[in-house]
Amino acid sequence: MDRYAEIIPDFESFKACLQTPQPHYIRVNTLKVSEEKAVSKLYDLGFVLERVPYLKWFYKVLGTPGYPITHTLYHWLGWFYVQDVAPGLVSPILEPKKDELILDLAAAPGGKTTHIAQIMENTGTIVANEPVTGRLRSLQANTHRMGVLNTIITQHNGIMFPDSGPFDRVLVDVPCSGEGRARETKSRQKGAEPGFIESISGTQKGLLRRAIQLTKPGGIIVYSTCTFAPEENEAVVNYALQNEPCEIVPIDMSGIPHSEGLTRWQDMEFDSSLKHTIRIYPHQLDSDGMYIAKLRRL
Amino acid sequence: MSKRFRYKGQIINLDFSDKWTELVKDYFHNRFGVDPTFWKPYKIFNRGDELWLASFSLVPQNIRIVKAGLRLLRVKGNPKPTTVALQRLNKHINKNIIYTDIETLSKLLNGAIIHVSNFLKTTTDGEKGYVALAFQDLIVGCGYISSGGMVKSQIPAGKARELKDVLRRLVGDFYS
Repeated sequence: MDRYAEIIPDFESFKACLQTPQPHYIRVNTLKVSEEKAVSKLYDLGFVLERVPYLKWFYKVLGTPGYPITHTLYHWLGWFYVQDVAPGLVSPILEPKKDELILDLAAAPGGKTTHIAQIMENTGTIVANEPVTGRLRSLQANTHRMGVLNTIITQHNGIMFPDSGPFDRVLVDVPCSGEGRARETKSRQKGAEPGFIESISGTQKGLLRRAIQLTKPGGIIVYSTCTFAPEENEAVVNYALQNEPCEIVPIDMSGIPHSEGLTRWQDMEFDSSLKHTIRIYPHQLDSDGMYIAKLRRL
Repeated sequence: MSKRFRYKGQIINLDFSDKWTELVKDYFHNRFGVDPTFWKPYKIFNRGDELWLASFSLVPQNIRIVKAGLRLLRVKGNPKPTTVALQRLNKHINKNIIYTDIETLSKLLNGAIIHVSNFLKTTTDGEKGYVALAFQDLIVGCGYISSGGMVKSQIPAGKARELKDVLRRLVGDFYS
């Protein structure tokens, strides 16, 4: 991770944060229960929750009665989803509207898909695509558990997703080196291997290009990763800006700690509009790390 | 309306004809007291021997569907509701409910068959057929009353295992 010392603000705090346990956050699922009822029942069991002020339906788990919140009847019934706040920002940034046609190009395990369905109040249509057979099961189980009814699950290679739609909005939360999850997985703390970053960035570019092609003119694309590597973030989005008809849409993050996207990294120069993409570091939100870019199809 | 999709060499039919909606309305109204207007925002479709519930507004072209919606009812022979369907209907169900406590529910999940008179309370006349199993006033799944008034869990094995884990947390390992 030391190669990020120049771009991560307060780098010592960042490194210290990686050594602290990852807090748990939940998103109350209003497709199944009211927020008040879910919170009240969890309090009754002995869970101490604190509302996340900048993210609707999210609570930080401050205390437990001695067992994980995932081992409750209410979790089993789909009253909430355990979801970190950094990935929890992605679906609201997509801004899905009721009755729209949405594509989630790499959907498993379904945290963002079920969040989109909740925002849309189970209206419209979400196509949740997952190419990996082994990951389809978790996607199916989570959409089922959360009472999601507006979603069609498909299995296509995302880069070759068939001509369909066009979609009002497309989320492309790509496979990545996962450095942003270093608090949960200590082996990630040394940073990703350059060879892996190079190979995965090719897949990411293909997925983002296909996402843009599937979006209707004027429609919105959100690209996200859970890594710090500029080669998987700004470089991928910069490539899409050069090769597909699209532009960056600024993300409103007022009041939410974050960093701007990079406009240069080592010997690479990126489009100046990339400063309007966002980077979230674990010590800023006490969360995972995340990169999010919002684009409009021209 | 019927739409056809090819998936791994198989044709998947989503048959949205009105007869399925009527069947679902009638079954859940007659057996569980669900108001027929509940189904208005939803689509019901047939796949094989099953009826499914969904709310998506359209099916885009050229996609290979793996799954869509929530399995509601098996219609081969006598209709059988699924556990997830009854959970979803929850407060809309007002008859043929068996209210369990932690002990009777744990026994049912372990395969026991228990007479209908041995539960906390019921809203059933004991007529043979499927019932909703409730715990802490929440519907947790499907059960079945046989002609002698004996109740058996119909919660699928995987779901039953998960629910048993939840109950164990509530009372320690006593009922495991």
